[in-house]
Amino acid sequence: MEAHGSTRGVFATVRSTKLVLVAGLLAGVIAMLSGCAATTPENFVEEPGVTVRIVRTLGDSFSGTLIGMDEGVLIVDRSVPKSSSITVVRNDGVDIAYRDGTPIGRAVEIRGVDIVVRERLAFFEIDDIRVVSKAYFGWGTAIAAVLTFLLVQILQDM
Amino acid sequence: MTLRFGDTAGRRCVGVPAIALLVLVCAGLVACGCARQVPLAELGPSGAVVWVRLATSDGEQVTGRVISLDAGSVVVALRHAIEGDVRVRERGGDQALYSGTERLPGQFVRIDTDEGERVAVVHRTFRVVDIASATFHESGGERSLSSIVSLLLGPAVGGALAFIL
Repeated sequence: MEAHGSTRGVFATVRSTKLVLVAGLLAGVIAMLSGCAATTPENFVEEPGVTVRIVRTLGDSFSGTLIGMDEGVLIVDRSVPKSSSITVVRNDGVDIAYRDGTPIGRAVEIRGVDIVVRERLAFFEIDDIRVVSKAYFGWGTAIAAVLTFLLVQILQDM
Repeated sequence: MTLRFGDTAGRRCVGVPAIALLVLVCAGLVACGCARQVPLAELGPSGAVVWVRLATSDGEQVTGRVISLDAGSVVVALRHAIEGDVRVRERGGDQALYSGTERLPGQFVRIDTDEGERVAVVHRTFRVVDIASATFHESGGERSLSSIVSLLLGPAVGGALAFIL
């Protein structure tokens, strides 16, 4: 019994040592890559798009992606959940999204649960517009953490 | 073998993964800072970086960092390499950027070093009505850091937690 317990203790120590090494390696990689990312301030992503939070003068607010500006109006991509009130009609090869019969913008991507609608917003329609900055922890990070947690638990129980 | 709290060997080594987890979380916090929302009209002093590539109705095309954007104007930080005819001159106590004898538009702010070369930073204001089109872009550094955190930190924290609990 004592020998068995001792063996388990050795295995546990080896495993924890490996874990520390892997964790240390990952921490180092994150720190190094973060440093690399932080030392290149003068480059930008070629694909247009900046995450923004918009409050309209009508009172509603939404998150979207600021794409650009054209003839004095801002062009914003916004995710609209699919529902019975949303319809997409192709007109001259362009998909137009309608809400309750009123055009709301061009449907640039139709996905499983939502539609990405490109809206044109004049400045007088916007009460406040804010850039979302340094939001590194998103749902993706949380989901990845939960999935890894479950995977390791399953592997431990095997 | 499963490590549980009732397990003596497991209990003995719980502290080590806990330290590992703490290291990872600290690395993440140090690398990431805090998320924030910055008004588009006050980007300059905030540290938030948005790039713009714009074309004016005169056909001029410029690329720079957005300092502020509102209904009337866009202020863009432009960088000019100080080489050849381009140099900073001081006249009447004011510094300005010149190309030959012609003063370049915009307000001179400072001189930076970019990969060993001296560059002058100039803040230039464009009226919204003069802009034919513009596209806004995220900082490359911020985008890559976001990918790093999502790909590495989430799984690392989840894995370490699974060993502890």
